[in-house]
Amino acid sequence: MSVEIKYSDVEVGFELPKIVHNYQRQDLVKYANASGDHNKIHLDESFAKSVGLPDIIAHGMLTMGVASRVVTNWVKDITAVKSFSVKFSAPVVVPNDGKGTDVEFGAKIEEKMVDNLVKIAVEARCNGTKVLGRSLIIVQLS
Amino acid sequence: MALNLAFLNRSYPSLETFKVDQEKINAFSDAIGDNNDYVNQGYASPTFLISIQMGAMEAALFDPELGLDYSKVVHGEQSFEYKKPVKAGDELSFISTIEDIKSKVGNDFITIRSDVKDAAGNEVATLKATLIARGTDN
Repeated sequence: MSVEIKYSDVEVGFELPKIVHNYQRQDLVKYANASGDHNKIHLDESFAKSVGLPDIIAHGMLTMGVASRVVTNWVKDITAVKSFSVKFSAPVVVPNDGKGTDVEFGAKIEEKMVDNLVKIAVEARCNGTKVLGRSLIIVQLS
Repeated sequence: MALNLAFLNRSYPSLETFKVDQEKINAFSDAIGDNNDYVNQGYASPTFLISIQMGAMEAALFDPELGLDYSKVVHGEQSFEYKKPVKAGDELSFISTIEDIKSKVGNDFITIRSDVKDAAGNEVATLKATLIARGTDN
């Protein structure tokens, strides 16, 4: 694998293509099985409400996983990804209404660093609310 | 409820190696919608290792002596630093360390660092997870 995007071709402020991801209840079951996180706040509505949540909430790590795609869809090369950190600032509530919940993900180059590394700030919004706080991916371009 | 500070700096080595295979890689990438070519080439999505980190830490998190009310736990922060990509055929071992414990405005915070190595002893990644047990007032 090699990164096709050249460090010299990108500038601070460049916006990566956005992603809209729809979360439905069955997606949370699928993520629970794939990740091994079976916390009932993601799977059991009456349990989620009993611990004070408005409804079932999505795994934060599902949101982090979808967020990673904004960058990996762009660089294509997994070896380019050097670090990834997120803060979870609000839950993604997933009601059982058959429509699910849309989250919009975007990312912007924030800094060109040494060694062809670029720092990319990632954002995720659900109904206008930021569900990720300061979240950064560092990738190495060619 | 404050957490037991005696758990600070405790380390939990993984008891057995975790074998990465294509099926696990596919299940994870499918669950997050990652259909990049590297998945078919045997490489895991960037956040795949979380599926091992949480399991590796359950012994500590579920220890009643720690005092963590797991029913109140939400994920606060997560980070990954990558030394080499995870691929099918890897046999990974973990050492997980409770790096920080604190209470703030009625909530309990616990930060767990996991250092991941492959069978040859090469560093693969370092993960940090901060979990928050929400207080009864919020």
